Formats: sequence, structure tokens, C-alpha cells
Amino acid sequence: MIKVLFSSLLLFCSFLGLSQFDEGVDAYKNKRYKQAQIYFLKALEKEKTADLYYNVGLTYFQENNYVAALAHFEHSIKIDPHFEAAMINAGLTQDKIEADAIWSHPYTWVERFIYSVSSKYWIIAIYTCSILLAIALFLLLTSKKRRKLYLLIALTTVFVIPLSFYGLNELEKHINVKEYCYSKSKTTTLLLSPNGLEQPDKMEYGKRYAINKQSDNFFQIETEKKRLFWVEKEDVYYY
Amino acid sequence: MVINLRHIVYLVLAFVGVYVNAQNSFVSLEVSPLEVEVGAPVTILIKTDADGALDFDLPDEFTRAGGTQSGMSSSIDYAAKTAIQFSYQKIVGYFEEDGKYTIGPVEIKSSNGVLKSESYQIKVSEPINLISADPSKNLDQAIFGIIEQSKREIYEGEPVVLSAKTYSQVNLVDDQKIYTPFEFDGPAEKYTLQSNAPNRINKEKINGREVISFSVGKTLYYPEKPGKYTVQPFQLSLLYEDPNRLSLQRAQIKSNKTSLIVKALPSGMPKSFIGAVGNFNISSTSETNRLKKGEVFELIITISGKGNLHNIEKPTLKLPKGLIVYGDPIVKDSIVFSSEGASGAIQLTYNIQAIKADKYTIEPIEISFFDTKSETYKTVRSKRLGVKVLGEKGINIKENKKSKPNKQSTPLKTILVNNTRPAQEQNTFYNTPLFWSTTTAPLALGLIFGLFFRYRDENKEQIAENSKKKSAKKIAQQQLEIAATALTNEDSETFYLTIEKSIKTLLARKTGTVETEITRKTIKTLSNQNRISSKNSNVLNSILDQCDQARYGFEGTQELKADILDRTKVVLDELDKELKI
Repeated sequence: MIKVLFSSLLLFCSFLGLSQFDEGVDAYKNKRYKQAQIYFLKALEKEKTADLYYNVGLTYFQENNYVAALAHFEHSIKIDPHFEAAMINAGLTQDKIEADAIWSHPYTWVERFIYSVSSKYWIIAIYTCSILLAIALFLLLTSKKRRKLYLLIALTTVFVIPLSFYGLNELEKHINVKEYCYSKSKTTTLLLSPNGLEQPDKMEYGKRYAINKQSDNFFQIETEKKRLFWVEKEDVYYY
Repeated sequence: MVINLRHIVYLVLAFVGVYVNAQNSFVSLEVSPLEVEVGAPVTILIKTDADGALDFDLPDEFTRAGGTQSGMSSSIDYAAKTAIQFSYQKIVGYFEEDGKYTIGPVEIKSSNGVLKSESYQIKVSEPINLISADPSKNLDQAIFGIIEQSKREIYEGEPVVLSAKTYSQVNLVDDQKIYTPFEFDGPAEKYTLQSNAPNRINKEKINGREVISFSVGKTLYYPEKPGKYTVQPFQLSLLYEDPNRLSLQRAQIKSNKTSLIVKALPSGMPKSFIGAVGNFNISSTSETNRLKKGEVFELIITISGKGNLHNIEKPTLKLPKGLIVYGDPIVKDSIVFSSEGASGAIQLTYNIQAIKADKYTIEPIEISFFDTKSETYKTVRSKRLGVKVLGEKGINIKENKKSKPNKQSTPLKTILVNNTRPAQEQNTFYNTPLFWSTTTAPLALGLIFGLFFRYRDENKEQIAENSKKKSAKKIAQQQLEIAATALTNEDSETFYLTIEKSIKTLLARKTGTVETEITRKTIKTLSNQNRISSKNSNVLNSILDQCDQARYGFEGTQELKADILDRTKVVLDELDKELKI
């Protein structure tokens, strides 16, 4: 809400050549955590980097809003699945939410590998393999020498191309789709359908829920009992 | 009667029993909320397990609504390990006028004496003025809804109240309403407020017509970003008495939309600005002003006011050297959300340790906020505090101050000062036609070229033969051009040789043989095979005969030679067509 309170100051800073990121760091170091948060959130409107989400998470942590902090640390992990500092802080934040609770990485090892490779590298792999396969096919059809080598190249690329497509597709899905959410309060109501009948159960505070589907203003989440309910987007931190 | 020790013991036991029984009986009063608007519902709950005459009066301005609910219930007191049964009475109503009213105490005169509950003071204020679209424009409808709002333009951090108001020109059945709330079309914090008490229906006159109105879904919003936002309509399904029919009818109404402009806060915000928008104050107190070196004392800072109190940040505490903050402050808040926003107080208790004996002055703590009424930033300060620390040693930390357990072996990783990691960006190239075409193009080209070259290699001879056939006419024509030149130069030998050669070249290339194999017999065979017409066969033989005659005897005139040249041109054209098939 107070995210853009410092808009004029931000403008002034931009004239001075100071980025909102630097301003946020400066405010954080001076223990002006709310201001720092606003600077970082403002900077996030321009570019969504793992570092920015991480710093926002720290400001929430300092404000004792641990669930928001955890959601932001995990958001930074979403962008960089091997972000060690964010993982450590997520673990510490989880412990603040529930003593002795063990934080688990939101993604499996395979997913972490896929998400850590930039989409441009997946595209380069696809192009390289596509060209190699084309050359191998050409040579297989026209040449009578070294046919085994060309066949090996063709088979390798035939294996790598679908793998790269899978990686690229998963990465795109990962970036575009909201995957997890945390309740903002202890009273977030579960709904049977978007804007539908309220359920007696509430969303568990501090617990990570996987998002199954999403509509304009609602997310469908899966509970521990594998039941699907809807929650309002504005009631949750999501990434 | 003799009173001995035994009788005294019985009397004491009886007294204790009665006393204990009396202690167990209780009467309690709960009032919620303690700050309301005129017409907003107030719930009063009386609980007791005692029998006796109840003495409880409500203020005259209080109107009961929705009936009184009575019953029995039970609760478990885990501390005393007892189950308590009690009867309760729940009263819901509203106040007709603003002011401060005292509710309670409740008194019960039982056999064990008089039980008395606590009393509460409730503050009733005039409802804030809500603005809306002109209802008179909807008088053509029997029932219609309009969204009311406290303001059309607000500053960021300032709250806005939205309410769903329904007007009706027919009688409504109250208990059968199905309400679908309006939606604020933007990021905002949302708090549901108490709407008017149930069954509270107002009568209004619009353009001389009497209509009834009621409000539901009163909600407090704190928009999170500046911008222009739309509030989507609310819907209401309700039963009404149709004057033209005997039975009740159900109406489904959809209200208007409305908009809200959220302005960014103006520039020039002070350094001590804590993100507060509204009207605030700050005070500070110290637990003591005299202590010994090493001791810890509490410094309590209280920020109170109205606005976005729930969203403010902690003020900066500047302590003189020799005093250090011990741990994080303990935050206690008492915040109430009403039509005026979040009001109440936030108390921050800092544990401060004196590490050096001296006389200290804690400078006033300063906060700044944005006052929406004057539209300026205002700064308020707490009072200056003095603390004297004595130099006696031996006392360190108060026992009741628990040291902060350090459970984590790994400390919190600190802030990143460089934004170096790549941004999360959607790949706009992926899944585009260009991406797919550039991916598949090499494969397609590789396949096409591979197949083409393979075909070429496998059909080398056939291709060469076809090429020969295609070039037959061209070569024959070139030879005819030489013959034409020879005709002009009156070189008879070259003329007849090139004429004959042109015929043989065409026939040889078209039939896939060599020129030496082309004889009159070959021509006859081609004619017999119907590959060339008998007419052309005769013409060819005739030309060849003339060429032979000229070579071995009669040379012929220039006109004859020209005729031979023309006939050869024509017959070669026709042969080219016939042998193509």
C-alpha cells in the first residue's frame, strides 16, 4: 500500500543516478525497513530479479512478517533455484513461523536443473541440434562413407532436441504460471468455486499450498487431503 | 446450648463452602464493538451460572434488532480443570444517536449475594457521509442498487469505505437476500465493516417518492498503488411483494459501477516519515529514570491515531552512547478498523541496557505522517527522557528479561548490495512462428537437399540423356544457322553437310543413339514405330536425297538450297514435337 509513497524521492534519486535498488539497500542499512521495501518493490516493477525478491523478503523479515518474507525468499528461489542465501533465509524464516519446522525446497532436483538453465541456452541447444541433425541427415542420404558417425550424431540430436523442448517448455511454464501460495492471514477462507460457497475450513497460516489452477481473481489450491478449493488472489502471497 | 470446638469447625466449613460456591458463580458482560456508527449493529452478551433476579438496563437510545437469543452453554476452564455450565443471553441492536453510552454492569441478586459484572463504555459516532451516483435516475426501476463510497479521490495509504446500498419502491422480505459483493478492481487491503443492523430499513424521499433503503457489505479498502480503479457492481437477489400478484416474487438486481482515483503522496517527505497517512501522535515513557550499570529498563513508545496505523513502520530510536537496545522491541497493538480507517495504538517496548554509568538524555523520538485533511506532511515528537545510571556493579540483566534464544546455527544472510542475478523474463521468442520456422527449416532443408542429391546421383545417366534430348533442337538449330551462313556464302559443300548433320543430330539425341547410326533405315523404323509421321519421314528422306545428289553430282540453285533450308527448319520443329511424346 505504501509502495509508492516515495515516488517523488525516487524520481529525484534517478536524477542523481541512484537506482531504487541502491536506495533500498541504503534505507535497509539505516534500518528504515518499510522504505527499503518500497524501494525494492518499486524496482521490482521494472525488473524481476531474484536479488530484489530476496531483499524484499529481508525487509519483511525485519518487520516480523515472516510469511511474506518466506514467500518472497521462495520467489527469489523460483528465479534462481540454487540461490543459497535465499534458501538459508527461507529455512530460518520457516523456523520463525513454526519452531523446529523444516523448510523444504519448492522444486525437485530435476526441476532445479531445468529452471537454472536460461531459456536462451535451451533455444541455442535446440538450434544447434537442429542444424547438426540436418547435416547428419544430409550426409546420411548422400554419402556412403562414415555413415555410422552420421547416424550417431543424428540419434544424439534426436534425443537432445525433445529434451531441450521439454526443458524450454517447463521453464516457460515455470515463469508464466503461479505455482505456490501462502495465506496472508489466519482467516483466509476456502471457497468451493471462484467466488463460491465458503467452506468451514480456513487456509493454514504459514503453510505452502500448490496452485492447481487460476482464474482472474482466484487460485485453485490443493489441501493436504488432496481436496481442491479456491482462494482469492488478494488473500495470498503467491509466486 | 453449649458451643464446643466441633460446632465451631462445622460452622467454619459451612461458611467456607458457601463462600467457595459464591466465588464459583459468575456473571459476565461482553460488548462488541466498542466504537460504532449510528445504526451499526452492537452485540451484547451476558453469561452467568447463577440463579437470581437480573438487574440490567440498556440505554434508551439502544434499539433491539433481530430478537434476543437465550440458551445454555458450557465451557471448560483448563486452569481450574472444571467444566462450567452457564446460561447466556445475546442481544443485538443499534444506537439511534451518537454519543458515549455506558452498558452494564449486570447485577444478579442470588441467594449467595449480589454478583456484578464489569461495565463498558461504547462510543457511537455519526456515520460518515457516503457519496454515490444520483438514485433519482433509477426511479424507473422498482428495486435498484448503488455503490456508495466515502471519497472519489484519495491519497495512497488513505482508506476508502464502500457500501452496497439498495433502494426499493416495493415491500421486501428481509430474510431472503442473497448478496454478491462488489469488487475493487485493483490491489488493496480489505476489511469488512459492520453494515447497518439487520432489519434496519430507512425511508427516504427521492423526487417526492417514498422509497425504502438499506445498506450491506460495508467494506474498508486500502488501495496499494496509485491509479484509477473501478469498483465492479454488486448483485442482490431478494424477495419482494408484487402489488399486482398474490405470491412473492424474486428480483435479481445489479448495481452501477463506480471509480476511485488513488493519488501518489506528494514529494518532500521528511526523513522521519514512517509511511503513516492520517493523523497520528507519539509518546514515550521510561520504566525508570534511575538504575544501576548493567541493568535493563523498558522504554515504551506509543504511536496512536487514525489512518493506516496497521501499516506504519517502526520509528528510528536514537540512543546516547552507553545505552544499547537489547533484542527486538515487543510490539503490542490495539487496532480497530472502522469507517475512519485503522485507529488505536501501537506500543513498542524496547529493552534498553545501560552499559556505562552516566546521566543520559534520550532525545525525543520523531515521526512524520501525511495529513490528508491539510494535505501536508506533519511531524510529531515524544518528550525528552532522562535516565541516571549508577556505577555499582554486580547487577546485569533483570531476571524477567529472557535472553533471546539463538536456535539457528546459521545466521540470517544479509542484504544483497548488487543486483547481479538475471531477471525473470518471459521468453517472447519461444513458441513464435519465427522460432518454429527457424527450428524446422534446417531439418527440412537437410532432408530436401539430401534427397535431391541422392536422386541426382542415382539417376545420373537418365539425367544426362534427358539433358541431351532437351538440347537436341537447340544444337540442330545452331547447325541450321551455319547452313544459312553457308548458303549466303555460296559454300555448297558446308551447306549440304550441316543440313544433313542437323537432321542426324536431332534424331540421334532424341532417340538416344549416335549420329552415325541415323540412316534412312532408322527413319523408316521410327516411322513404322509411329514415333514420327510418314509425312515427316518422306520429307526427311527427300532432304537427305537432295543432299546426296548435291554432294555427288547436281549442286542445285540458290533457290533450291533456300527451299531445302526452309523445309529442314519446318521438319525439325515438327520432329522435336513428335519425339517429345
